[in-house]
Amino acid sequence: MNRCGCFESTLHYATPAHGGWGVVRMGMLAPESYQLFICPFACGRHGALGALKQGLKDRISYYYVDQSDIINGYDDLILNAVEELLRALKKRPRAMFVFVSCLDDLIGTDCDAVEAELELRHPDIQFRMAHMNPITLGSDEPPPIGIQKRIYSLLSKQPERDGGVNSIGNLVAVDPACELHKMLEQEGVSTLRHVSQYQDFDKWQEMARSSANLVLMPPGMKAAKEMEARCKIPFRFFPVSYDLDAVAGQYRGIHEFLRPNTAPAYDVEADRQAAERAVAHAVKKLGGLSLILDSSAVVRPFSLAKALDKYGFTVHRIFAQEVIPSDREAFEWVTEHMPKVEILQPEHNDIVKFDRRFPGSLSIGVNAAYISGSEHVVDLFADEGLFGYYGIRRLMELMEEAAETAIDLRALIEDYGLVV
Amino acid sequence: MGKLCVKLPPFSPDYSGVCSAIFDLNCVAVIHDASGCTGNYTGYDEPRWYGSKTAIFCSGLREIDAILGDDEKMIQKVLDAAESLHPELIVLIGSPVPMVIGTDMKGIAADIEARTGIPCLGFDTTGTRYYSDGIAQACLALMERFTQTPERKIPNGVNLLGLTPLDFGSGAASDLKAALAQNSLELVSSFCDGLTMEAVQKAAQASLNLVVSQSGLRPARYLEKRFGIPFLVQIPIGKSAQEKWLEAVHSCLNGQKSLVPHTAGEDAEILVLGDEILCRSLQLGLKADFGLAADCGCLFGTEPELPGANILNLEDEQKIEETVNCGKYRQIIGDPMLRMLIHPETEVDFFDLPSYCISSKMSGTPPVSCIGERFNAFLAKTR
Repeated sequence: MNRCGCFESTLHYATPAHGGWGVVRMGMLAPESYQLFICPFACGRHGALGALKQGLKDRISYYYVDQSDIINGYDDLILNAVEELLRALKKRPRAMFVFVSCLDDLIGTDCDAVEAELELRHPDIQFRMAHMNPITLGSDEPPPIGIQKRIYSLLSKQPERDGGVNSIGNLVAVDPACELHKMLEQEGVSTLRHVSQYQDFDKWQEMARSSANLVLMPPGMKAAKEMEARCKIPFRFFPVSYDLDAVAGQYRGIHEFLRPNTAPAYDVEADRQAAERAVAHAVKKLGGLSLILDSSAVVRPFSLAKALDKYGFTVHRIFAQEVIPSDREAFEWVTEHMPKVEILQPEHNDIVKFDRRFPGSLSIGVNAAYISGSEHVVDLFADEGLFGYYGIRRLMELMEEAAETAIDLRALIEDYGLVV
Repeated sequence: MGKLCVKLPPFSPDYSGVCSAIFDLNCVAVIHDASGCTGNYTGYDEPRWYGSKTAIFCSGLREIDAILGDDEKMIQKVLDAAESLHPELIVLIGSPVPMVIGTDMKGIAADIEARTGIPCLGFDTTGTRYYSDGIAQACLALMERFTQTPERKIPNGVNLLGLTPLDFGSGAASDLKAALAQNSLELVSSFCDGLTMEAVQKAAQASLNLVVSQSGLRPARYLEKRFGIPFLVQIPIGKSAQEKWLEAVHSCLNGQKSLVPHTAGEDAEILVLGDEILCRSLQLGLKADFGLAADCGCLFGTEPELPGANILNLEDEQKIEETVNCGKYRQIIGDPMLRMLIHPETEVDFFDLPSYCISSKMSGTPPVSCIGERFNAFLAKTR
């Protein structure tokens, strides 16, 4: 941020800790699916190596286009490439994402017509034209939103509802230890479904029988809206929060969404008390240890800062490239009530100076740790697996563990297989 | 690379090559892309990125800027960064989208240079060529712009051309430099491992250029044409081969003539896979030290003007796969990731020689140096 409190548009610096899942890994969540990229070979390198790291390379192939193909248009080449690929594969996939890259946005490939022709030629496979086009970041459908939309578009409308509920948007299922599962069970929900739990395409279709979608991460909103329109599954947005009162409100909201005009069947008070004890314990243990928060670790870093400040922690710095809408209110609160907190953009060109080193700090997020040189690191990525009071409790545990140990940051970053 | 690629990851592209070449310079460099191209370089094509302060950035190109051809947005960002970071050089690097919309990278570079007074180079890289092309482009641009006509030559002075971390691990690079020092050869400039602007300026003081990868070949031809510096195309791989290489070095220095050592054509049971100059050097080492013939399986295109035999252009995955499984070869040397192309029924011994431009940090094998007698040890250890 500059002195005016505005986020600046600069050249982007990418630390070795920059990145996340990438569209390849997200798309792989769809069971029995395969990915074919139609792009210059360069566009595929990070995704392919990331897929190798995740053990997914046997589900992805590339058809490289050259300058001549780009000039002439490659609609027909896509059809031929799919034929060639299917001949080479030992097993036919149930679904295939045909990805094009940024440049395709500028040359006008008729993706709808190609998709229709592919389904005509291969009726046993569902095709989805997909986009790895970060050139659309900042638009209403950047790659993380587009791929989730396409994943869930593979769920066919089912004739009947059952007692299940889906979690959408979160890339990792809510941890089984989270009270959300117990709460839903006592509310009469048979199971909390998540796409990662399925290996079988047909079995996965049961997600379309669920009675409701809980959207836990913003990129799932568009997919949920489409599922509501197409499969008649209503949705509500409950972003991960680390604020005790906000969590209480979310559980009331979930109950009202699923069982309106009834008394709650599950009492969350014991879970809240456990979270409160965990907070008190961590505050005592960490003392005045300076905390640095990072938007690579939590989707809403300003909301986390507000909560931690309320609990008595010392938040020193927040790394965020932008403020997402669901974090806007907390951002304004932080700028008003926590004026000493530094707000830095992790991709700002001045980050390369590395003149904000703070070894004696604890960073929640590896990107912040890399930039700040923190000795203590909570290796959390995008709130993975956390929700509700369990999420608060687990974060407190992770902070206490981090305060006690020094981490091999390089090994951690490389092991995660981050993809931009 | 060829069209359908089912098993292998794509190899390092040209824009990564440019970035790799200028990594050590005090510059502000910008890949004109949305984010993924920069992610390729910083995440998978630059082993030196972790812990470095090299100012290579992404322009953050967005759809509306591409559609409107709004170059001024990037230019302003570059000007702001230059004002803050005080570079000696500014570098603009193209990617697929600028290729499609016809961005004039060199023209923008000229504009930025006029506004800042800082030298600025633009590269029309496209993501459709290999890293070696990008390195060669970068070296040529630096030489054309900054290398000065020398007042005197250094009689035993040599440049290393094509020494890139994308082909050479840090151990191999150190061994290569040590081999020069041990044989009383003075390293004038190393393109591009430890490169400085001063080294670029004085490169023409060298009396010989040592080409150690395909990326060094075009710069060598340029320096020969402009400054009359001969070149030798060989990496000293193998104990006996290194002795012959040293003889060739002195022959080139004394006669001031270029030399491309090569083997005679003969039936081979060994296949070496990778950069053509690396393959040729392995071929020479196998012959000189073990009396064995080898075929060169060139993965990044071939250099048809170089004399030689047993050179195969394996330009796509299908050709590589057919070749490694053709039944002719008993032994293969190459990046461990190429093992995935070997069919279960193919009986072949595979020697792992990782290349960052292929497997990046995913090779599962530490970098290997084959310089001099380390090659003999490498073969003895893995045989």
